[in-house]
Amino acid sequence: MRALTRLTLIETRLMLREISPPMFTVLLPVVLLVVFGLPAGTRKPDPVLGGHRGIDTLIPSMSIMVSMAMVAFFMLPVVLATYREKGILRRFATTPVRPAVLLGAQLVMNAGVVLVSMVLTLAVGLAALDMRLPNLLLVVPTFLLGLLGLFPIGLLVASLAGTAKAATGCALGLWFPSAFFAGLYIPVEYLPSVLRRIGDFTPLGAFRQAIQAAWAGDVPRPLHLAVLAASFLVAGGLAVRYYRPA
Amino acid sequence: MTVIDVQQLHKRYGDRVAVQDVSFSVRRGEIFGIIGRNGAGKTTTVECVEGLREADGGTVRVLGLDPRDPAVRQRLGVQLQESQLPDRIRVGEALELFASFYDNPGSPARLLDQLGLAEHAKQQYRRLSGGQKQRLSIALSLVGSPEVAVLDELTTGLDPQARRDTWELIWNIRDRGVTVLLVTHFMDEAERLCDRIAVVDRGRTVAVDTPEALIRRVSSGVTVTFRPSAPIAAEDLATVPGVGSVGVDDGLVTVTGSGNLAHEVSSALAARSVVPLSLNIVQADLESAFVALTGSPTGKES
Repeated sequence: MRALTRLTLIETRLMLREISPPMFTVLLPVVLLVVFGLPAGTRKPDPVLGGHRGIDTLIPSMSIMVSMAMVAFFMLPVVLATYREKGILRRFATTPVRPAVLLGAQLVMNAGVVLVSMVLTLAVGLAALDMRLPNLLLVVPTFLLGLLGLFPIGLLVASLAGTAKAATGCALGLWFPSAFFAGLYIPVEYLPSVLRRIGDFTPLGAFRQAIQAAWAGDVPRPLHLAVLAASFLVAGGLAVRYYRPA
Repeated sequence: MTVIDVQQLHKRYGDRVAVQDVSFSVRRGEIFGIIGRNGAGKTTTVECVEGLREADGGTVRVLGLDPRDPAVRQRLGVQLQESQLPDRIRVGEALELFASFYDNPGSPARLLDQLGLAEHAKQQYRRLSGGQKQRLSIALSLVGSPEVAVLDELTTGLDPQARRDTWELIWNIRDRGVTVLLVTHFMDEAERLCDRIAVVDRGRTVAVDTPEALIRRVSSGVTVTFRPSAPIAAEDLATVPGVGSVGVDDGLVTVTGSGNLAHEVSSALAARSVVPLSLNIVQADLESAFVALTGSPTGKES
């Protein structure tokens, strides 16, 4: 526990010393929120969104989806792949610290970044964009399930990629289709039903829809929760299977 | 008491045999060296000792345990060749962090002092020079108060003064009871520092002995060269006690042999009223012993 605490603390400091990636990850979603949330149309009930307003549903869910993907697909695996590339994982492997503790520190820290991003999104939305306070009893568990479903994908990338460059390449390859099926370019509500159906089965798409439902005050659809659970099991299992501590 | 025991270690990477057959054992409290050319299998051998790799054949025991046993990690300090740290970690932070992994850590401040890093405690890793990184790496290997330290290419990248300081440090930690396993390709370092040495060549241990005994194994222990003041035939010196071989090349005489060779040769020359000019005496060192044992000079690939 002492090692985990200290590692998390040091990793956080290291992250803050190289501020641009976490800053980008935290601010981009807020920028998206403001840009898409400013038009008055987002504060009128929208039949496509089941009578909910965009600012209470689509827009915050996009913001949180983006920060979740930035962290899970990029920040987490790139740091770990860098550690592998530089022999830092090998160095740790010769000490009593367990690989699980090392990973744990990364997971805690990166979860913190997504959390900060979500809190900021919420704060800006409430303060400036007439967002209604969502039911946190729905939002928080959905958010946690999202972490569980998406972080293992980043861990899997880190397990397979030998270098930071390879990890970045994998992350880009994941990000663009995931973002499309999650509705970043065209909201899924406007996508043809086949594409929309595919999106239901992608972890990022499932997460966005689940968090959108939760933000609107509805219980997320079981399908989306199941996709996240399956992603946790499959990606997590493969990551554990292929993870080399050195 | 045996602290590290390696018997008939065999390790392959795919089709390539990295270690064919390596055996040695390290006793408590000694400084034990592994010498060999690049690619001889030294690093693979110590990686098996460190638990980073699993042997394909033979046995490796550290402190009587399997090297992959987590209990070994508490008692074994490791310095890896070519491993780095996060760019932005500070020297002091790295030592504090590694200290926190161990049950009985040593004092980071004292190690910083001993390794001349105290004034760099707040420097980020990426701003350190090669020698400073190397010294930090040594400090990290010792911060857990290990019983055994495995140091791979200890002084690579250090300037001569830092090398000597590092040797002092190794003697110091040995005097505190730490057993040291050292991998090096510097023959002078092995000769000065090690109590015993394993010579590894092409994946095999070809000799395990003290540096002095390894040097004694070489028949041509002494080489004497000179220009005689008057012409002299090789046969005239062949019968001199201790002489192994005599060569004359363009007026330069080279005599190899053992014992008090220079004196014997000088006496024989004096008896013929010949004076040796430009007299040069070279005692065999570990380098020549190594060449004799492995059949090729250091630093050259086979």
